[in-house]
Amino acid sequence: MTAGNFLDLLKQEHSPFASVPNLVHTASTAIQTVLTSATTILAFKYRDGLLIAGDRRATAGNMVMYDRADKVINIDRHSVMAIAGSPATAFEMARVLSHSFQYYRRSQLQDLSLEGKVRALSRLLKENVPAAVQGIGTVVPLFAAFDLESGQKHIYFYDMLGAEFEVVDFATTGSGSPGIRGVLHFYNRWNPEPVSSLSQDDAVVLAMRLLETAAEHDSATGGIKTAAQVFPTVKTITEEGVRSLPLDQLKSLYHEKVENRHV
Amino acid sequence: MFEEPYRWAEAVSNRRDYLEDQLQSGSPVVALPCIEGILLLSVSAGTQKVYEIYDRVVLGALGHPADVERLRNIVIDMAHLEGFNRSPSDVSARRLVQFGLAPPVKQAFEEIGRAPYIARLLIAELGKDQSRIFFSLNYDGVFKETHTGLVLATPGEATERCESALKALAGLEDRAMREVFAEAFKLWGLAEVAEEKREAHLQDVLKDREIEAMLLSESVPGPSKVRPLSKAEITTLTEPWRA
Repeated sequence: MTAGNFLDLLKQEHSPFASVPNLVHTASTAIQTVLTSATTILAFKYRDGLLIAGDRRATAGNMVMYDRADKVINIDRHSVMAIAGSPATAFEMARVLSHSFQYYRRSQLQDLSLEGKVRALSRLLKENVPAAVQGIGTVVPLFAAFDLESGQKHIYFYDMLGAEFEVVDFATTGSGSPGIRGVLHFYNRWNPEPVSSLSQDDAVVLAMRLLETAAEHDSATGGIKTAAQVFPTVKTITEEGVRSLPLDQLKSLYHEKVENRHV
Repeated sequence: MFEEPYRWAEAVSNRRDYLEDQLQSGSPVVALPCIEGILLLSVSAGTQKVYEIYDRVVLGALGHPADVERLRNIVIDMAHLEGFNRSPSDVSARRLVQFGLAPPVKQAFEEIGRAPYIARLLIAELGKDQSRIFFSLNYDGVFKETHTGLVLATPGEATERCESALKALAGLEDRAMREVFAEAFKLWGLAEVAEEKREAHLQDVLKDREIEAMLLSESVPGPSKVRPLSKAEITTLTEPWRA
């Protein structure tokens, strides 16, 4: 009996995915492997819901390993996790979370509370600390959710140790985030309308402009490549659920309001 | 006590009688194909009767709530471990029934010193190729597969009545859920009472019991294709019996 706890079920069944390996290394045996990582992800509240977006690049040191990574992952119908850090660990955390929430809902015949979901990610990060402090598998995610019970939008960011922090308007993380965090603060503080008043289209345009800004200053953040059809991953969460913005909509908004300067 | 084969066979036979007697008061469960996918329907007097098991698998049960709960947990654990360790595409109703549920149910039935599961289950799956598969699992571990729909009724006459009525319903997979709901509700009634008393019984049921229904449909967004019908939808769909 696991009382709806999927992680406990995995451990009980000795699943190899039950926990991140607790590696033992000393300073003298520091890992020399270059791990795939880096990102810029962001989330903010707009008029009708939440927007979460991320660039598509995965790097290993100064090598670009992949330019079509999806770092914004649906966890359930009303929550999304965006990942910065090591994809190997982060994707696994997202998979564990997704299964955990569904398992809880189906076995306990009720949805896990938002607080429970937020703590579940925190627990995974805490279990990953031994690996993270040894330089492998560090993950610094964002978690965004629409709480159906209260009708409220929530965005959380985490530190490597698993502490969660809820933000009021927006959050950014990843290697390219310092460059856009200030921009978002400036926009939110002095623009005629704060991000929370933006329409969905305007919110998507802002997200693409921010990601292009991040890519301009951070080599580990991928830009938008129209010729190769590489656009950021952009998702919204509203009362109706999570929606991935289709490529055509991103392309059209990009050509109309991002590519050209005077709009 | 059961070391002689005859005594063991007699004990098993007695326990079959006991189980069939225990199941007489259970509320039937109906699962039918429809153009949208699969509709699962039952009427409860408080305890939930139809459940989501995995993205494309649902379960309906007739029997003791505690035993149904034990079996439901077995199959949910198996489905989620399989879906996580391999892939959600590897979770199938056939494997869940054949390898997950049938063996422990049969074992419990034949181990005379142990309590059997007082339950009959219905498991339905909407395949990615839109195939509709239905399984029934009896308290003795016997399971059957069908593709045209299934009624889980109390053993005996009710089951026979429903089987012949279901055979007469052709082409359900081409009919809209709204129409199939009416057929499912009528089949549920037939599983409870004889045809001549059915309409009056269905009208009575709506006064003090709750209808539960789930739709398995490709149109449900996200990986899980299960959508419980809302109370408002059920009220509209049962309007003909609320006059």
